[in-house]
Amino acid sequence: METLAAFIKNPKHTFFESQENNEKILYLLRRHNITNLGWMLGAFLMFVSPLVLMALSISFGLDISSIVPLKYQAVFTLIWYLVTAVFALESFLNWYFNVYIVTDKRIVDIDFWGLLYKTVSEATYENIEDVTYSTGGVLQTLFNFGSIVIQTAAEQREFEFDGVPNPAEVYDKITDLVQEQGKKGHKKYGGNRRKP
Amino acid sequence: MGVIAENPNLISGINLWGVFEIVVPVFLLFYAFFAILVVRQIYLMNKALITGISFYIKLIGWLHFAFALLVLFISFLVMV
Repeated sequence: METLAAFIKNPKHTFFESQENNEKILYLLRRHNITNLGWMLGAFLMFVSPLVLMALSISFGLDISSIVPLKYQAVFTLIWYLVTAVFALESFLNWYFNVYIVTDKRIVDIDFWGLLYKTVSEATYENIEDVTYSTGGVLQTLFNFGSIVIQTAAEQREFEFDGVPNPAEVYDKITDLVQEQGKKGHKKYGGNRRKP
Repeated sequence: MGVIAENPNLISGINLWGVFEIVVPVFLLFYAFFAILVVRQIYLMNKALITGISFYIKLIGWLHFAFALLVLFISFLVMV
């Protein structure tokens, strides 16, 4: 399903808040899907733990209802699943809505943190001074994801696209767009490719 | 000497389940408020980034809120 991907080229039916009418999204990027493994495993363990506890108590012949009355057990189990649900939901939202957008006019970084806090940063290609990408470690090498750091002359000095898939392709696209803008305008651009 | 050591019947006089019967519904009441905040958060996020599954994400937020209300209702039935 394209919508749930971490690397979407020319996404359809996708718009962001400050998008201009003639602005086209070239890439929509999120942290690589593999980075979701931690919270997914946590949510799975939270989901199965009451069932495991119940199975253990039956196999060892323990009578939990003699310690905790049945009606309280039911309420505690429901509360446990409520907490599990919100943990999974918040983790998913945190991944899904923290996006990096590369358009034909600028780069946009949308960050959500906490319950109601949002940061939107953007830089046009004329303001980009330096782009670096890096990959490293077993997971990043195996699944081809890494970080792209973009130095700008805009209000926000540095953008970091963290854990994005195919960083080399995105790096190439951004540097091409910066050079195009440089030809149109005045900027001298020096890209920087780093791969440990 | 501590308060408990001086009054050994203090803890046995407190009904532990009686405390739970107050604490759990109050916690769930706050949780229902939190679930509304999550719905609000989802609306804000969907305003910032509109995608093909925006409707379903909003639906999940409302379902979570409905689940919180259901658990609150059950806890009232069972505990109060």
